[in-house]
Amino acid sequence: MPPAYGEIERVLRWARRREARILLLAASALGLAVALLVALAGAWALARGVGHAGAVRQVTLSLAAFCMVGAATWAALSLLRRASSPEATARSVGRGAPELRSDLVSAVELSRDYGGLAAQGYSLPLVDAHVERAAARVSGLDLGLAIPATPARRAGLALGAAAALCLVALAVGGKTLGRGFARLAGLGPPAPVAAPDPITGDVELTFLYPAHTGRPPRTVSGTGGEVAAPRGTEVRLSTRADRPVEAADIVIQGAGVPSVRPSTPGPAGPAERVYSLEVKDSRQLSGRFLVDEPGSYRFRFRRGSKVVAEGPPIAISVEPDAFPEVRITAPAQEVEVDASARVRVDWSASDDYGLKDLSLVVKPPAGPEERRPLRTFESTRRESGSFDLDLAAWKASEGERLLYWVEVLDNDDVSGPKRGASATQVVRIYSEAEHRRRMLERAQALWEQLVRLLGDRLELPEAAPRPGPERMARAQALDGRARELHENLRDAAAAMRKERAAPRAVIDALRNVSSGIRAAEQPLSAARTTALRLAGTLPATEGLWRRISDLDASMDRELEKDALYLEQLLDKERAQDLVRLAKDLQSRRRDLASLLEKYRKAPSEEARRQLVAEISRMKARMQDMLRRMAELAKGISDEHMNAEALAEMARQKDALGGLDKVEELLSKGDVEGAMKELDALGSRMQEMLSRLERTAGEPDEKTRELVKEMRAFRDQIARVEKDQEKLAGETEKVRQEYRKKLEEQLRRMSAQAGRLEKLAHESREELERAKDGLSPRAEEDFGKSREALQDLEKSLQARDFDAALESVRKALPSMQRLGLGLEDDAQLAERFPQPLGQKGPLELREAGRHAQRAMSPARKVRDELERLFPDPRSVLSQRDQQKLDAYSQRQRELERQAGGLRQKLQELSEKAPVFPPQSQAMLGEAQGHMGRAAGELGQRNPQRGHGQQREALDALGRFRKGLEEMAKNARGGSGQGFPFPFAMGGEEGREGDDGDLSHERVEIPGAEAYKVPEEFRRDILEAMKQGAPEPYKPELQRYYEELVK
Amino acid sequence: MRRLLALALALLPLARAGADEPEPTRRALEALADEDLATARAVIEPLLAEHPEDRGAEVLGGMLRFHEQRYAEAVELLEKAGAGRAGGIDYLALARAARDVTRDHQHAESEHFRVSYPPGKEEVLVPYLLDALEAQRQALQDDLGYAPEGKVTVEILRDVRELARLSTLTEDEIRTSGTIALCKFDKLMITSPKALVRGYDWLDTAAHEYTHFVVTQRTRNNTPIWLHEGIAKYSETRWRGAGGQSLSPWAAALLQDAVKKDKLVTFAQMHPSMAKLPSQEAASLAFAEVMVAVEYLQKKGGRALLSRILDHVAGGMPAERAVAQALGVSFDSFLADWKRYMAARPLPAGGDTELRRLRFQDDPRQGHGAHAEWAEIPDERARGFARLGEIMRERGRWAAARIEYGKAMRRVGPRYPVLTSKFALAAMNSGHDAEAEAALAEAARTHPHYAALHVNMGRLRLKRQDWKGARDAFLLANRVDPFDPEIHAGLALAAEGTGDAEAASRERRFAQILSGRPAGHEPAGRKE
Repeated sequence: MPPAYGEIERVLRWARRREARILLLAASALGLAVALLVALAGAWALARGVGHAGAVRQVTLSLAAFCMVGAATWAALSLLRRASSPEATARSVGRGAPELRSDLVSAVELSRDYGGLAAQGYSLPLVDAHVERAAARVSGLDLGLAIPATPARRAGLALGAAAALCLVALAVGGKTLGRGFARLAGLGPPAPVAAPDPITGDVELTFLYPAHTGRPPRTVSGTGGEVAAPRGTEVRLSTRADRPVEAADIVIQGAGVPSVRPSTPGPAGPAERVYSLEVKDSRQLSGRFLVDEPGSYRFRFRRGSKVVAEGPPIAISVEPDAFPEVRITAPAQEVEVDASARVRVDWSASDDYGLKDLSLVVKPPAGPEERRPLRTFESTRRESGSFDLDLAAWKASEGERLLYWVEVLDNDDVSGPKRGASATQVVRIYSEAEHRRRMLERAQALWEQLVRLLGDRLELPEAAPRPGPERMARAQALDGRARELHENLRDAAAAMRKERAAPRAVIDALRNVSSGIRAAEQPLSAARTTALRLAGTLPATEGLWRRISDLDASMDRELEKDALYLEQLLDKERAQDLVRLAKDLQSRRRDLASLLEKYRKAPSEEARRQLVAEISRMKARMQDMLRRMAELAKGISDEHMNAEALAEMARQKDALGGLDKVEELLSKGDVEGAMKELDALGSRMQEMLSRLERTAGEPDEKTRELVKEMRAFRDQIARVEKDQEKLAGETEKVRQEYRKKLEEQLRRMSAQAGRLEKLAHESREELERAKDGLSPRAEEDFGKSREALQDLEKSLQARDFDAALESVRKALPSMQRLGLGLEDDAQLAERFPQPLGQKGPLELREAGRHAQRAMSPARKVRDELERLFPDPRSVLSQRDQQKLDAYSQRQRELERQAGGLRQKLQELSEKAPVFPPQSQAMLGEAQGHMGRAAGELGQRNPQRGHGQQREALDALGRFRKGLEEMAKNARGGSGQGFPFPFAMGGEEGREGDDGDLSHERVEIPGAEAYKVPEEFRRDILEAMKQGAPEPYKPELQRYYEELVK
Repeated sequence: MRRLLALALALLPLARAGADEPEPTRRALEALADEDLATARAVIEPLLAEHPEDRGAEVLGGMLRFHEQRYAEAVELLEKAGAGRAGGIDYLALARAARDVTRDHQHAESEHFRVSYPPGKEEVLVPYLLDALEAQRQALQDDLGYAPEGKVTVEILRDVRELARLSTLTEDEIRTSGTIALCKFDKLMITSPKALVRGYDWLDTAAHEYTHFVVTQRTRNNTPIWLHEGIAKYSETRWRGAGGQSLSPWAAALLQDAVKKDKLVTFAQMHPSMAKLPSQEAASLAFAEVMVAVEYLQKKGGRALLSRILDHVAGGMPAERAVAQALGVSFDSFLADWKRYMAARPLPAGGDTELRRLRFQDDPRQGHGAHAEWAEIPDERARGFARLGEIMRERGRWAAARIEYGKAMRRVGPRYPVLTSKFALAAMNSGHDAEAEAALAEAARTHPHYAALHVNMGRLRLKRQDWKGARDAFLLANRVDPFDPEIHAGLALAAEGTGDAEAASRERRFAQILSGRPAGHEPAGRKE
């Protein structure tokens, strides 16, 4: 190969590629152009229906394909000729560049034979030189000129022209040509469809609807004949033919048969129904048909049997008859009720034409569905109503579920009635055991939370001598958890209170525990927060650390006590649940025995089946109950559930075995044997029940001791209350004496009340003037003074001289402090420069003067009122005074006893959280009133002394009632003597108890029995301060006066 | 004696010789009643050979076979004779029961003992039992100057029901008195420790019963019950050391209280059997009384005095006279001295609080629950803390449990082994080994029969590779609760540690038998 031939070879390669490209493009474009023209011609023919559509389509498609293949063949042949070899390519290039042709072709040929040239006598150097020259010339060749693209361009133009022609034809030929193309492409019918022309005029239609629709006949004129009616409607039609006819029909086609047919009339298909029409005057046509299914009909004219014309199909549509609908609007989808309840069910039903029958369907827990007719309707489309679902009829047991729904039929007597059904509803039989179980689970979860908290607290590292920051942070987090626990316990108690089955003792216990934890947590959190704030500066010996340590210990004690008590209480409740479950089981056995007895008396296959079904149901129930009993027993510590009872639990499995035996005997037809087995089962169950009851009722030593102490405590409270009652009664006699002597003075004072009011008002006005010059330190005294003077005014308005005297006595010391304080501040302000914004000495002194001046009218009021209430010593006889002295001493003794009771209460509280923290306050309140009563009596004041005594009695009475409630709860359970928790009334309220009617005797207090409590009196005075609209003022005044009397 | 006479009278009509030759029958019956098997055999075997069809000979033969523990033959003979009841004892029923109970028993023997035990877990008792009994035999030979020839049969019974079937005691009597083993019909019968919630001191008990066997033989069954039980009780610890170590602190306290209140169980009330006493407390008191009586005799005259008394008794002298004669004072004086001795005897540590009531696993009157044991703690607050500890322990909160148990311990001290054991476990699991060890050591001193204390101690010692100490602790536990696989796993580890491969292998196998699993190398984590 000559060395320069490479360049020639490269140029030839490029030339060959270009040649191929041009040829292929030219052939494709040309072939496509011709094919388009052929397709256009074919589509036109198909659109116009020229020739046989199939043949036209075949020919067209074949021609188009031939054109494409022809073009491809041409391209292939040309390529073979022009570029199949280097020589052919060289010649092709030479045709475009004749000056090179000879050199190029010869260079290629010489290079091809290069190996043999020497043998043939050629000079290879000359050959090389020739090739090199040819290569040099070829390298400068412009292939664009040598191999022009003209054929491709021309073919492209031809393709464009053909495409343009097609577009123009489509624009002109419109949808028709488009359909032609579609048919050519195999879409749509192979031939153009010619809709037959109508052969009748307007059609008059009369619809005679089926009776169940309740619709009157209807006639419509001037229609195209389209029919839309319910199934079963009779359609009468009349029209006029467009030509004289001999005979005419209407041909009805169902929807399954093509509604559009070629115009050529043909014989009726198998799905067609033909109705003859009556022909009058050769052109007037009338007839009728029944609407049965959707489809179409067309008119057909006949001469004899020969069809002479057939009109286009006219649509028949069947108006759908909707399914009836029924809904249960009440109660909710799932309700929980008692087994004997009657559930009111509201329903509403509707249908487009009419309702017929309404039924209730119930699917009981065992056995097949039961259907009960509820209503039959007469031509009504919409109806609603209600019925009572009497659950007693199904004898469902606690926790079982009944499914029910309502079904309705419509009145369609053409196609047959259609059925509609409501959604399935559920009635769950209320199960107290289930509710209790859930509540106990919740309480148990809280107990676990409490135990976790206690565990985490105990595992906190020792704090000595001073806790590090990490421990402080952990301790704070635990305080947060204690708060959270308190809230959870409180919320759980509140939620349980709304539950009917809620174990009262658990609720009260949770509340008490919640309060106890709160009481321990609050001071601890506060102290810890303070310590954390001062941590950097507090020495290790600081008392605050000791206090925190004490509070921590106190919190641990609280949690320990709570954990133990709650555990016992929950165990107790579970044990009682076991007893309940066992009783239920026993009752079921009795029911079964009674069924068996019935069967024995009147045996039948049906009764036997019922019996077997009942046994199977009872077995399922027993299994469930045994499972739950096992669950319950699992968590019971044997302080309440001893081994005897646990062994009993195991023996109960025999009960289930006994039932198997009953079933087996029954299946063998041995009724007597089955009854004996059932009796034996009953004995075993009774024995088991007795043992469980005994076990559940046995308190442990600790609780027995605690209960004993609590009983003694309750008796002591009752004794103190009784003594207090007696003492109050005796004081009351002296008080009556005193009041009798005061009556005249009170009357006289009422006349002077206006003047006192004025003085009080004057005093307050003067005090108000001091307001602008107050120093920050004086604000508190000012507030107190103003409040007391306001009380004074209101009390005087209400003619409550007693309260008025108290108010003014309270006002005067703070007024005096105010005056003196302001004077001091003024002097200080004179001597030392005041910071910006502080009052100056002049302002302060002025304010002080106003405060001093306000005292004078207030003092006058006090003096007047004191004169009104003379010292009882000056009014009462010597004997009465001596009595009061003695009463005072007795009262002191009672106060001391109340103190002892508080101490005892504290001791009991430390043993178990049966008392909420408020109980201490309650007893403290009683003790406080007793102390004050003793003081007042010592001062010979029977009025106030008696008031305090009544308040003490009130507090004691409330406390005693709580104790009685505890005792009642303890008796209420099957067990005796478990220390049930003390339920506090008061601020947390008993929101869930609205429905509970107390059957306790209610003491109706006498008119003079109570002195209005101080707090109440204050509230009323506060309310009076709020003011009232003018027209209501006199009424309001009267109301308040009555209240505070 | 009266019983023996009744038995003879009952059998007389059955004897071939009848009134003509009553002597062999009488002698045979007397020998059987005295548990003198050799004499009985010498009389009955020829009778049986000469008159195999005689009903009387068959009855005597049946009784002999029963005493020889050849139960199937005994049943055959007694059934053939058509009667098995003699002297108030239904031998046929006893033989049948013994045959049935021991039908599948396995056997193991040592030089002087033959143990018959039910297949399965009881196998772990055998080597310890044989060793202890051989040691006891040697000790008694030293003390009483006598040891029976031949092999003594020891039957291990599964529970108290089997014990009742094989003895003349009812199940109620057994439960009431806390009887767990008997020496009767020329054999020892021992209830498996498996039958009791916490096991019992079964090796001491076996030694106790064997002492009865020896005393019976030594005195031809003439020893009254008080002396019999006194010697047995005193000597039951001889196999492992000195005698008189078995008086529990509680029993000692019970005794002292009874002396003060003059409410001792009289020797007469102890007759015919301690098992017939009305309660476990009465039985414990009676045992304490007689043990201290023998202790007193030992103190007065040592082994020689006791041997002299037994010689007199064997010679037919009433025990009261024998005691008086040996002491050289009147029996009343002896009684008065003995009472004074009891009153002055110092109480062992913890004697005022110990209360160990035996609990049978299948007794419905006994608590089974995990917390019934807390009821033994009288201090209410301590009980509460203990329960809190338990609550924490159940939740794996060992550190918190330790604190709560600790609070309970601070209130009641180490008096309640159950509490101490739990406290120690919690302390060990929360990394306070030293605290645990101190508490365990203190409690184990006063409650040597509380296995869990020793097990926990064993764990601690294993942990610090004190192999010998661990072995001692586990062996102490094994004396009470041999069915705890951890004890044997611990012993295996300890033996490995001391290089005793044979013992290690055996204990590993025992642990495997008991747990059904291969013995692990980590004994901790057992049930508590």
